[in-house]
Amino acid sequence: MNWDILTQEWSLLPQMAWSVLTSPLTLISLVVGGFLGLIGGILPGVSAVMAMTLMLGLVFRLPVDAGMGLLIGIYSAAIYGGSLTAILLNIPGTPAAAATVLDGHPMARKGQAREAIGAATWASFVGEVGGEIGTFLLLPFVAVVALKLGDWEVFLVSLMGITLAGALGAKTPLKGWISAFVGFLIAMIGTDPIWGVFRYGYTPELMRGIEFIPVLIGLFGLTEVFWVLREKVPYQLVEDPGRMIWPKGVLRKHFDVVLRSIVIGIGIGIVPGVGESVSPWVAYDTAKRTSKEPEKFGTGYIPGIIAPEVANNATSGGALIPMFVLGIPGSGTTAVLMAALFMYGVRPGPLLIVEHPGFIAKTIFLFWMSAVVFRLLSWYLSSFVIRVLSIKREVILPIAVALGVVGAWGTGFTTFDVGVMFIVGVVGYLMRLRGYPMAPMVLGVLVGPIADYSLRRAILTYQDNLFAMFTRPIAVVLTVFWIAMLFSQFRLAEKSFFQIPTRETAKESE
Amino acid sequence: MAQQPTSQKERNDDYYWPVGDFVGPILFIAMAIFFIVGGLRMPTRGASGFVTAAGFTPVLLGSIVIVLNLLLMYLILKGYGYRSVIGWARSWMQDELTRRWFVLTLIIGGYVLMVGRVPFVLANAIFFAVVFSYMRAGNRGQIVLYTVVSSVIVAIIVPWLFALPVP
Repeated sequence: MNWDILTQEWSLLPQMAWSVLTSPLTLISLVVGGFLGLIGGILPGVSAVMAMTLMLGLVFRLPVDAGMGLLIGIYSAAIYGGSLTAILLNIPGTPAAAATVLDGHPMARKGQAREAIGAATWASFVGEVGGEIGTFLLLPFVAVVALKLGDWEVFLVSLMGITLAGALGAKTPLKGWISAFVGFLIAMIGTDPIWGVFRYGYTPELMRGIEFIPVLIGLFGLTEVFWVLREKVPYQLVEDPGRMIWPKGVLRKHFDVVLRSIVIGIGIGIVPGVGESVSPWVAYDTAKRTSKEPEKFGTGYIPGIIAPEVANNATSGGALIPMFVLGIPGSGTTAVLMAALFMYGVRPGPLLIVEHPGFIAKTIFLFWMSAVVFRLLSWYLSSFVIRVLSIKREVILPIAVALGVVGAWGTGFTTFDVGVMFIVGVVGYLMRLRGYPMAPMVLGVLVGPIADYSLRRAILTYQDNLFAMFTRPIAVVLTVFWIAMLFSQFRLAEKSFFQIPTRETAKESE
Repeated sequence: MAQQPTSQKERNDDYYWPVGDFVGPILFIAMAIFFIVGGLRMPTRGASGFVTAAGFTPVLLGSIVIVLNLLLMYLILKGYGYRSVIGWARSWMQDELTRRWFVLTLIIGGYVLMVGRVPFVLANAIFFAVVFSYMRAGNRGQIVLYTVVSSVIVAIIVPWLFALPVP
């Protein structure tokens, strides 16, 4: 075990914290990001990933710390902000807040909206901080193991990520896998990194390749706009929120729910392509099954708010582990963070911890700071910010489209990227309509080039004795694990994989 | 549990809906064939032959995409038969949500075409005026106000804040 590497990020934390605290631009970015995230989270139809994606084409004008601070601020606050509309309107502002509706809205209807918002705020804060602490303790161990990975192992890990994301991201794994492999295929356009051969380079832009930012803006931004604007759902506030009330002693009383939800959040965050849309449901279900009063769930019961809110915020930590250590994003939001890192020339993967010492510690600290920022913003501004709901979605979302166009244009200053954004948005909408999940496709686009490069480089390295490639100890473990995973996916999902699709299965994947 | 459809039309829509999955795979397979053909034409370098060539991964991926989509098409045909494809196409075209999406796609498509060809502020003003009017975002005065404010934010303030040249 390499103890220096193992303890490196822990020992660099104070230094990194100091560099963040003494950088006014980074702190301002965190606050601005928190504010934008809060507004984005509150507006139904603007998810955390969409808000982040819209800013992605713009943040690269900022220094790396400030850019990451802005995106992380949006991320944390949007996840939390989604719960406000879940409680007050019965409409989750973000998919991550969908489970909060179950007990949050009944509480609001009983006239306890301020208590419900107080519980959601503190639970989000504890989930964020706890999730990042767990991640920070766990991450160096995974990083040390990851340093031993060669090209063949990196390919296997990428393949496992794509397979797992495809299988878990949709109700029908078949569509999840199609989505993932189509994304992988799109990533093949451009210049081959090994031989310098142009792949499908029919125009100068295609020789450069399809940039992932327009793809991300199209898939997460434009698709979402189409999805929301095609129908009208009027808002109806249950009551004026006012300043939140904190129901005292609740977290201590339900400490087991908090702890379990943090572990669930981190665990699900590690699984590629699943993320914060799934973890709240698992945490809610677990809290209900282990509760002494399960019948109270769904009627406005505080643990029914705490469990999903802790879990969805803790997931942000867990999702960082595969992103930083393996270069595989754990969720849509970490895919955007990873895209931002690529833009800054920071390449996530096994070598990140060696090439950029302290970067992981700094990012974790930015997450902690963002938790403090959204906690403060929510206390002082949530009753004010909730009034953005009086602005119609019919006004906000076209502005989001135009910002998306600016972001896509900013990627390479060519209208080709704007066109890519539009085409991907239209195709993404049609795919989503048919129940194809978006996250595996993004994963395919981001991880595809790594998998392709690693596979062919591994074959080149072992071209004299290909058998040796399969006898490396970690490769054997990973191959066995992948085959077992594939087998279990077929076995577990036997009914759904070969099941004739129905409208319901597609709806459940939305 | 899903609500039981009440009318014959709703029953037909629900029945035909999955058949749309027959159309998607055709497009994906066409795309995969394009990638495979392109991949096979790419030059092969090095001693290992095609397995390390630039076209190897696209050919492999294209083949996987074809197999997965053929499986999906088989499941649809097994469950619903050929004739249901026509029924699906008819119910899809008559759908209100589809019409709305289609108009939005045309408006945003027009905006994307304008970007880089007409001044960015003007492109935004036209886009916002058309989309706000179509979405009935307010009365005439409000639409003019929203259009001006949105155009200024997107085409002037944001690019200025991020020092970003506009198309």
